[in-house]
Amino acid sequence: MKPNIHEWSRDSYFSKAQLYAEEMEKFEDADWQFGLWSSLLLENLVRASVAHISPALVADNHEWANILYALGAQPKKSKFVPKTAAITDVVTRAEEVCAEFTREHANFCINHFARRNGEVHSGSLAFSNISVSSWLPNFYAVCNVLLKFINESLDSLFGEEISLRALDDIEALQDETAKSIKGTIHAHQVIWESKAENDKEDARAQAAAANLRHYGHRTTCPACRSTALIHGKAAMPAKQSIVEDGIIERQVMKPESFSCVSCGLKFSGYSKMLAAGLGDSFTSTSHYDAVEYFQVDIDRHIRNLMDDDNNEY
Amino acid sequence: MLSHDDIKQMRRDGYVTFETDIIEKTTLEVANSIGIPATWTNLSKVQSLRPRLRTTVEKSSYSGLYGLDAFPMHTDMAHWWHPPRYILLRCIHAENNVSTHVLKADVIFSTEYPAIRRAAFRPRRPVEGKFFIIHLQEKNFVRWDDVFLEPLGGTSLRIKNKIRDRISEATPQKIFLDKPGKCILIDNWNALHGRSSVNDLQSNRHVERTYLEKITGDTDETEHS
Repeated sequence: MKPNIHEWSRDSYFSKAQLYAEEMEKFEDADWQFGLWSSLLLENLVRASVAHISPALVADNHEWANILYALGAQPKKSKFVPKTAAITDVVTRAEEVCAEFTREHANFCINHFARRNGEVHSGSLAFSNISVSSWLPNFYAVCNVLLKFINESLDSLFGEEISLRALDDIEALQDETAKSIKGTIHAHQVIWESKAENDKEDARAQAAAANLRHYGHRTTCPACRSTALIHGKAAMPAKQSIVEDGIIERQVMKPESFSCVSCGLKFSGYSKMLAAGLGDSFTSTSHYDAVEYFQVDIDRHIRNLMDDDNNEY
Repeated sequence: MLSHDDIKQMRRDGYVTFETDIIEKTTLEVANSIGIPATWTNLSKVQSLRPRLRTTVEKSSYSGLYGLDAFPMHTDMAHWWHPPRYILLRCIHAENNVSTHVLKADVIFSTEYPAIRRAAFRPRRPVEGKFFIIHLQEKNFVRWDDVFLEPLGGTSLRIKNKIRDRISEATPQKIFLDKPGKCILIDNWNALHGRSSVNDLQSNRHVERTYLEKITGDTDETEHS
């Protein structure tokens, strides 16, 4: 029996990653906090992966007392403060010990930690400055590799709902055929640019009139730069909040199809949306009044108020 | 040594009882005869348990929290990273109206997996100067203590309330250590235990407790990784 666990152990780091995953879940994709928590989670997961071999691999090896500490002994040096290796070094070690963790994965980690540093050490909102779809699928892909290495899963880290979404994202990322959409976009762009300016103006006006907010999520067409529409499917359960005049329901949507009335560009499938740079989730917001939302039968309520007292049958 | 049937019963019920000679053998000798006693620097190998008033004991123990009232269902050292595997309780002086309660953990925990594996808790107080994250259900054992474990976050709070409700609705086995030398061996990794309240007049009850890492003849060698 043992009261404590080493703070540099695989289990300690993985438990921390689980705690941070729960924090991440409280925010929507586009929130800066979502990105920040993801970077803290990823750091703990990378450390868990090298600690899975030995906690000694987490130690800052510039001072051997850190290695001694990692192995469970208490150095005699006075005022000793244990120090772990810099995360960039730990990423390099992860690349060595985990066969499936490639240079591409390592580069993603370094960039993601650089964003975290930008968020923490500067006044800029580093995670608001980039689209979520430019990093989230890669984030899940890296997590998946590291989790398998330490004999865990996306499910054990994120829970079933998010792990299914993560697997979708990873599959979309790995869909090589989806990249052909770039060729399709280029072809539409060439055709668009060959049109007369009058024709372009007419088409743009038609698109603006047809693509109203309640028909879908409005975006800019990557081929002709006119207003176009994205349709999506629910990415997670809707969240409700009560406001003064009713209930607001916010539903995070994962983009599934694109259509542009101006140039005729159309395609569907999340992997193509991702390859086209249109993979960011969006939020569909609905307002309900309380009577409508809770399906209150007003007529019945009023009739009940008008019944005589002691009306027993 | 425990018989094959004894070990089988323990796997099935979470505990087994057996008789020993209170004169011929000490509790530590009994423990050595059935397995490997656990040792820890700051804990004596055999602890003497007598009902005590709440006011006379520090609040870091169950006697300090509950005194002569019933002890709620729990696992021992739930706030430790690696709790002891088995608990051996041996009656030294019996009181017939005080019972030890045992509840198999799978009745309570089984339907929450895997959410329960993500729910993070921490010890109420630092352990050896540190806080760390633990889970109610680890890979091959469970832990439960309504007081010594604190939830970290919404998921763990919801899980804690669910488990607490299930325990209150469950019917534990009641075992009476009603003669000197009678023992109960509890699988602390797979069963919860508690104690009924103690009448003031019965405060001569005396039980000795020791912990074991392993039972001889038990082929289940799963270890906490």
